[in-house]
Amino acid sequence: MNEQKKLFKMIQSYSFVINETALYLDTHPRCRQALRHYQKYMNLLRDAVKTYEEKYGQMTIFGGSSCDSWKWVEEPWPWES
Amino acid sequence: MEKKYDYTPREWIDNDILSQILGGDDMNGRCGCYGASERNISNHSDKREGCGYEKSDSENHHREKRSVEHESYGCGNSRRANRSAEREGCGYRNNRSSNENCERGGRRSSWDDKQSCRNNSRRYEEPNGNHEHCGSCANDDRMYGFPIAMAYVPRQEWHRIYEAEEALQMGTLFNELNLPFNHSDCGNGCGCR
Repeated sequence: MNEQKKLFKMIQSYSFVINETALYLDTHPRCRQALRHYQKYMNLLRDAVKTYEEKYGQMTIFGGSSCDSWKWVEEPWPWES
Repeated sequence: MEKKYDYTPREWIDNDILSQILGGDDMNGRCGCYGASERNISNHSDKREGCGYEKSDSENHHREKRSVEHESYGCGNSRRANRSAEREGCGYRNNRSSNENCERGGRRSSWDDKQSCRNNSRRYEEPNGNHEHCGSCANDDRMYGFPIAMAYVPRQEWHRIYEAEEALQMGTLFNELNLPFNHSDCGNGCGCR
């Protein structure tokens, strides 16, 4: 697996953990362990997405910077090799 | 929480009674009575029967606290040494004509005796008012005493968390929620019809 795919997979797994933790927190809003877990993975996710976008372009339409052209449609999408 | 003997379903849920009962550490010596019992075990003139109490052989109904290792009298205990034994008290049928003891869904003679049924067990009264019940009794059912026809979901706790990659692979963050379905194979390799 190349580095882009590895990083992409990490982002997917961090996102999944955050989703699961958020669901747990919905019913346990004051669980400190879950809250810490959420914070930890939010930080990991932000860093991973930042790294990915710097190297491989936008992951979503929300990651773009102002440019002369709409790079989102000009560069490969994240799911394309 | 104020001790009560009858809870509405809403109360069961809002007050998290289930986890109090299941997490109670009063099982030793309580003969199948989950959670604390307010029985006054020092009062030997108390003629109560049921969970936590032993009926002596004497007609005096002298009460003593039983340890959980012994054959329990009148208890909805999972540890029943001899189920064919005639027992008295909550959950057991009393073969005698006396109505002092609670049988399964059975009757007690005294309404005053609120503590003879398993802790938090609901009490039912038949419409004609003649009989009092100790509520349904179950053998090893930890849901004993809970209202029937209600759905209960045990409360999840934060433990046995997978690492991120494994969580994605398993489809859940929680080991406890990793519940694969196993189907039997009827020989056609595709599972049973």
